[in-house]
Amino acid sequence: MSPARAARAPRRIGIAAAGAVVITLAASAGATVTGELGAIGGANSPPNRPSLAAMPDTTIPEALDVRTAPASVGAGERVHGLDVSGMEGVSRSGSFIVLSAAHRRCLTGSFLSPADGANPTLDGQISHTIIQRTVAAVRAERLVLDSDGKASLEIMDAWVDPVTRGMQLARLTSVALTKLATGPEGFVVYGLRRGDALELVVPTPQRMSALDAEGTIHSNSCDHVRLALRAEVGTGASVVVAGPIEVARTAPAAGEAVKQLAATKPTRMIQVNASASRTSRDPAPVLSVAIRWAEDAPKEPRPRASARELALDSEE
Amino acid sequence: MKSWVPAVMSVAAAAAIGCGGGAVRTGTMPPQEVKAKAVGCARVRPAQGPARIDSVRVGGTVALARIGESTIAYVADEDDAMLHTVDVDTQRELSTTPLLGAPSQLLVAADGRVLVALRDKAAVQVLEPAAALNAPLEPRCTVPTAVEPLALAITPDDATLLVSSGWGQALGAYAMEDMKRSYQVHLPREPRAVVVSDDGKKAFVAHVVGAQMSVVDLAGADHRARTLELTGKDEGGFRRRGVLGSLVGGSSEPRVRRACQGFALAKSVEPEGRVFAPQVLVDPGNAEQASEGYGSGGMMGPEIASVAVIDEGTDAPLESSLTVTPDVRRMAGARTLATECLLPRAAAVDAASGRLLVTCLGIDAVVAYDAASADPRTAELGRWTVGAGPTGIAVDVSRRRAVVWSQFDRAMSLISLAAEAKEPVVRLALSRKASTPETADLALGRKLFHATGDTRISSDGRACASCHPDGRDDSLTWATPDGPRQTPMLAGRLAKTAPFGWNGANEDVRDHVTHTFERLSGSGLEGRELDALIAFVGSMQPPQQRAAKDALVLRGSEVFHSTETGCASCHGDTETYSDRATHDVGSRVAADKSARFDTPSLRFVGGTAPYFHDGRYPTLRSLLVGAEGKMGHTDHLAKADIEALEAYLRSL
Repeated sequence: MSPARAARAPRRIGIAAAGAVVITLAASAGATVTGELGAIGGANSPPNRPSLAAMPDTTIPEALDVRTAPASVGAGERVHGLDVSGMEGVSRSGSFIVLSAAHRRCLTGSFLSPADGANPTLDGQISHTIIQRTVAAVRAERLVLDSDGKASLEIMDAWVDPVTRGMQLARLTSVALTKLATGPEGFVVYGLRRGDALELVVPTPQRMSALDAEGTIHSNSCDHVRLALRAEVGTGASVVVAGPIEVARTAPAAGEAVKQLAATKPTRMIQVNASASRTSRDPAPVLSVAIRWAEDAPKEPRPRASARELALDSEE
Repeated sequence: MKSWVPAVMSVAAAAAIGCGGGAVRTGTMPPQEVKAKAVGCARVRPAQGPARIDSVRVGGTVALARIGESTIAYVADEDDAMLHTVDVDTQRELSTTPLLGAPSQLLVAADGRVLVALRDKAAVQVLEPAAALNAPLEPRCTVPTAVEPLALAITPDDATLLVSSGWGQALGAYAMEDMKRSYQVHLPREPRAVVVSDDGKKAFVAHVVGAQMSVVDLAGADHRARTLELTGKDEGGFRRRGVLGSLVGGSSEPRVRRACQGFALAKSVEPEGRVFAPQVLVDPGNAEQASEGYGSGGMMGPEIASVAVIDEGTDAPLESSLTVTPDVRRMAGARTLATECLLPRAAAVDAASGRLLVTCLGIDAVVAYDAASADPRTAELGRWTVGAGPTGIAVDVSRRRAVVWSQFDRAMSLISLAAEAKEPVVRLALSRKASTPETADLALGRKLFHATGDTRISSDGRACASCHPDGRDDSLTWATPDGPRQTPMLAGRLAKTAPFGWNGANEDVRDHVTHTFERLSGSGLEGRELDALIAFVGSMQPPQQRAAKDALVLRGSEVFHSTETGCASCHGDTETYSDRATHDVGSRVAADKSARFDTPSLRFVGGTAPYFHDGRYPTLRSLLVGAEGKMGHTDHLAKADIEALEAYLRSL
């Protein structure tokens, strides 16, 4: 083995999957990146190269089919994590309700267009207005992080009756996630495998913007965004997520403590780039994930005439 | 350390153009004439001295070798026509070796010989390490090449040396055993870096202009070269979902961007089979419409840094690496973003970390990208600041460091690629010839010429070198307020050719430069800095032009000067080939404000396609035929005379 290859020997842990609950794999570790001029920080491991083959194939259930919806849902029925509010008879269609989700769950449902309903995290919203009189299918998805650092997606499928405001839980699914990369401030990005595609799962503690592999931009208000990456031979795809995250407050100078206590928590723009590519010589898609600060570092001084040169100029 | 010590010093400012964009000689001693021993090109002390490391077979301005546990760096100093030998571990310069000309790249062969491309001598010089490590290298032979050899590579079997020649538009192949030329392939304009596929069957050649890469068949009998187009798709605006998308502006029509600044190439190690081409994707605007400045660039600006990823197996680029997408960071609210690498000059892959390292003029940094990314440009991992004018980089994989040569500062930077290094960058100044006030001005001017992200030059990050790489032209036609304007070559074409600008609106270079800053929405330079920039621009040396006195050229001269053809009526001046007057040659297009155009100089016209103010003629031949009646007459010429006329023009 050449020195180069030895230095890059991947670390993989194999594990078996079972059903819809997938045991989390520990992916190759390694923090990468800072955008600071003058140095690259983080561990000297390769830029994060998740291995699709090492990740268990995950199944995310299809959204509920409204054709199988119950005729109604009892007025008193509730689903933990969802809330309904609204007014009667305001629109011509009849009732409308505002459905909202706790813990910044990403909400979608049959009340949206089919294309929008597949992935609740794209332009993810935490509340929606439902204007219809028939029972709607709702999906709420959130990122769950446990104390052991393991991550999963909790996918809640429920029926919501706009007339009775009743809600009925149809299915609760937990999908284990693989840790893909750790960036500045311990910002972690996760993923899951669905067939031959990697789905990147990026926490979005505040509103973030995302560019999907088709070049469509999304603005996300819920707690995470999930983006698919797939590459056939000779192709590549990349996604970008950017937005502010809170950073550690630096020690305030004397006299500044009061001001800083009153101020909002400092944030900094972070950027996640992920891609899948496959050339004719790649046996499988090559994945890469990079996390770095998006904002510029202090500018370097411009090439200017030195004081000596200016002095020479004045002597002539 | 043994070094070359000048016996006489005088005040002068001679400059020659260099790979980094202009060499600035800091002394006036002429290069020493080194007498080679009559031993041919082979080594006289085989298996002695430093040996190549990591099987690197691609040239650069810095190359590494190993002797025992010590790492040696050979550095090509173009300004001083010198080769520096440096002990990287002790950070000491061991020796300097005077060369026969200005080195553009060097390469350590499998047997330890050092091959140096001499840009201004149309030759490759072959040297051998001396018996003592701190002695200058010993010359063995000089091998003639096509004009302006700029890049070197060796095939995987170590049997063949490939030399790309910029102005000569050629790729030459030489047998390493005896350095005899095996064959030569004609290439499009401005070839630079060369890399060879893992199986040795083809060579990839980058081009500075023309939005292309050449792929040369090394195995076939005819060594055919084909062109790989490198154009980028710019999404223009952006697509949004749903109703909001229809309310937000932005064009839905993709724009085509053309690749420029193709100076460097690098090959992947893992994953295998990828060729990386750092470049810039340019949108010169719609030439049929007047613009506010040079180009329009839509929402993304005229120039965007890029790294094309070429599939070595299929010779096709990954489309994802050429697709320009909206910058999500700006939409997320980022206000200060890192200046992009708009003047890439060298590249290398750190196999241990899977990073692609690119040296960038202007920002004077080494930028690290994820080499596995489908679009490396969007996967920047970080950057290091190095000395001004980084033109070369070599990676010492096992020692976890990169060695960078910065020509403008004449400094070597040692970058630790290890994590959490306490001193990630160590800078080492190398010996140089003494500078003078005049050469100091030129050095400042060179830095300003290559300054990207300097708001005095432009508001969008462009530098002078963005449109004038190596002081030449980008072969693009730009939309301007006056109409479409093809970028002219600068080096060697400014003296005695006033007025300036396609309409001859500027009486001198100073006026034109100031006007250009305005067009680029830069705040402008003043005083000493403006003087330095102008001095540098005026000092840029053109490529070596071999005087061709063959019968074809002589006949072409007769045709050129004939009354019937009429070329000399405007291009008759024997020094500049321009009467320095404006004429209406019937070339005005709808977007042009004026029909009269300043007669351009014909010096070096053979290498500055396309032609006319709007670049309508892609070749000299098409111009000679197409301009009939509007600018001279060629209808009456036989085919042989057309060929002679073209040959004459190419000799100017």
